Amino acid sequence: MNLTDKIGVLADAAKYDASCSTAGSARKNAPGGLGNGAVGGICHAWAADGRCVALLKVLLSNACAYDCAYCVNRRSNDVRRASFEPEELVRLIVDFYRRNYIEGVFLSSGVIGCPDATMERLLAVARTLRTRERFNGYIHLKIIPGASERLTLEAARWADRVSVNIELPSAASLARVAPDKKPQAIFGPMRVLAAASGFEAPRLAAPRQAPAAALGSGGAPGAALPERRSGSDTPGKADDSAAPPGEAWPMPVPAGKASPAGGAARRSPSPMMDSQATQALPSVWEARKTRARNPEAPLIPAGQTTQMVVGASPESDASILTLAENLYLAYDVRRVYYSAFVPTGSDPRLPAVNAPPLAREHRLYQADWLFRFYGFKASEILDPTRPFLDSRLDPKSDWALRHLEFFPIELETAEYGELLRVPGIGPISAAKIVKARRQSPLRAAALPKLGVVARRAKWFITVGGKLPDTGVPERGPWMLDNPDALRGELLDPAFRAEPSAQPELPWENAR
Amino acid sequence: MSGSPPSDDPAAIAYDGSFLGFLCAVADALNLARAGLPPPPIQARVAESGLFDETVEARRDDARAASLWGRLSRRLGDERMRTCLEAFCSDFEGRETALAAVLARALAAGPAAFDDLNDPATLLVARAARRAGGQAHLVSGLVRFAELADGSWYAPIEPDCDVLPLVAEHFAARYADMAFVIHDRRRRTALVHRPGAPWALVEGFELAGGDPALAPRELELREGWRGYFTSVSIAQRENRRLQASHMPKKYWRFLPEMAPARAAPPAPPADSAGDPC
Ligand code: SF4
Repeated sequence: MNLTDKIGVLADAAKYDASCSTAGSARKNAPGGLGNGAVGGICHAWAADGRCVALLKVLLSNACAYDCAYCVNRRSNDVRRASFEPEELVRLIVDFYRRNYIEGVFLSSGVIGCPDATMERLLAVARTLRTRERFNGYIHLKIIPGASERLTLEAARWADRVSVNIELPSAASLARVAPDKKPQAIFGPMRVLAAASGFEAPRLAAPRQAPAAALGSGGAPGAALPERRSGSDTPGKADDSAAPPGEAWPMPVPAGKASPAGGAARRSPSPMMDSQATQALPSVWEARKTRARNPEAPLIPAGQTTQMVVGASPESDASILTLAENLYLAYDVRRVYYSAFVPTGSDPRLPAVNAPPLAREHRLYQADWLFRFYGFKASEILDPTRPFLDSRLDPKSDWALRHLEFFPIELETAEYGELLRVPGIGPISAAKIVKARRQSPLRAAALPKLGVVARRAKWFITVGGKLPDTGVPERGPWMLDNPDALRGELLDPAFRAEPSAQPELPWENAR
Repeated sequence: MSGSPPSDDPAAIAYDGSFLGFLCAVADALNLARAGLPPPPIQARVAESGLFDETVEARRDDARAASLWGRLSRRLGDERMRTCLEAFCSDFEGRETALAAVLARALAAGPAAFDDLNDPATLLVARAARRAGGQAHLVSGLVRFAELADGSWYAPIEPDCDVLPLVAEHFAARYADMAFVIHDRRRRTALVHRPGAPWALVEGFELAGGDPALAPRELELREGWRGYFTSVSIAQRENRRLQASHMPKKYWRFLPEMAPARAAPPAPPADSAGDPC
């Protein structure tokens, strides 16, 4: 097999991992060394599917002793197998890097022998790059599930970012679909990595709040919201929010109750789906405000990430988002990636699907942005009465339509967190509004210059006490009393699945 | 800002096209503003123009430029100065005059003047900076070095904005141990770097003796990269429109991965037809 063929096989085997970001590390070059980190991340190309190509993402070997149903490399699948010699791969990485093809490397491998033996081989590549080659470019290492604490920590030493993939959103699904992987083989390394980067999970002092008081409470920007129950469109919203049985992972860490990966809570609702508990936890955005990021940290400056396959198992979007929120809060995960299940064969353990659920994946990413940059909580986005995201409407507009009593927002006086609740206003435009209004009074006509998507925002705002021209005079300036008509205005044109349909949720440069 | 000024308007200030020359023109404009005169337009000097009857030439004086830069940096901070440099490097018409106006305001009212996007000059500067800065970021990913037979590295680019001043630091830090040239073939300028020496921008750059000979492994590695690039795309998710929206076609000509299949990968410079492969 020549070099190009081998690269082809081993890149093909690695490409279903969605993580491609190179942001978050400011590793410096050293005298006589090669490369550095770019803290904002750099894309070097865009593949035919539109994804950013920044890293040489390959497996060291696609031979695997495990049999995960969703994976092309599973031992029962009939594919061409190949592997790199560590030395050969080191040379290829340096050759590509010097040509400015890549920011660095994303290294993973099928399980050869035992997890530790496999991890050792990955580490040999990373160690050689960092020491002998004096390579300071970006290294993302996959932790092989079940790798020992010692090897996990060594990975944290060489890598800018590491990831341990959860893959399935519940213990039950994991047992069915990836029988060789045990929950503690995944959550154990995640906990080691969180601790190694100085993270302590917040302990939950769970005051038993009355549901009505709990709804809409919490810190900024939630605190900036009126403490008002939403209207009759959400009957019983806060009261009966126990998870459907068997859906979520047992995720007790933020509550400080038990070790993760108990694995046995299949029949009982996850403690984290309990509304009292979730209300008492901060939003991801809020929790992160107090968590200093150091892109020059000696250990994994870009932190750890994980991935869930969407659509290979029956869990609801609500379960997936609740789990994701908990991963952010409990393990300080930087990013949760959602990977639409791409059918790669006919394994009977998996649902028969014709096409990957891209629209669903897209909405999950949007909801995830609402956690990380907009101060939303999972319980605000979905709840047991509405377990799935609306495929035709972005989750923020959906929230706004259910909370019309919160609008209109006066742009001259609203706080940053309130601005973020307006459809058509994102973190960048909200910051620009705050800056610009200090200089001179805002004008509705000038809002697009500040990055506001006026088409969406105009229904929800006043500017200097005045309503912006909606361009729909026959319906009156406001449709806040008419949610159905408003919904029609906010629907995505043609319900496109591409991220480009959502300018306020920029895809790249995601930390 | 556009059209030839009627004769009773203040004269335009011309400069030599360089950033340092521009700073001297700004210094002149600031002096006029302080004397209560309306700020004149600033424009790069174009050869043999009738407008020059009306135009005062700002003499380039690098020490004077440096002193203004220092004064502005102290007052406005590094981030704003980066914005100024980016806006200057853009291809927006009228950027020089707008920059001078914003700098005059900022010197009087503080750096927050840069945030007032209701002001047309400020908006133009912000847009120009975003365009050039965005293009510089894109180019920092899309530069493709070829290894030459002598062990040095060469990459051609043809960006709309003058991005070399904006990416020089990045490439010099990242490839500190490489002797490389990034050649802006549109402007005939080049970023030249040698290990251990500071980078330099060279005007009127030409490749001596035509196409440089490539290092032995160069074509094999390009093939490997092309193969990688093809493999990483997930067929069931193909989305060429999204691809082209991130990576406009005008950048493709220097990317080995975007070369048509089975054709010879483009050699630097890309208009050379005869690679021995
Ligand atoms: S362990 Fe499972 S997911 Fe990983 S390569 Fe092997 S079969 Fe695929």
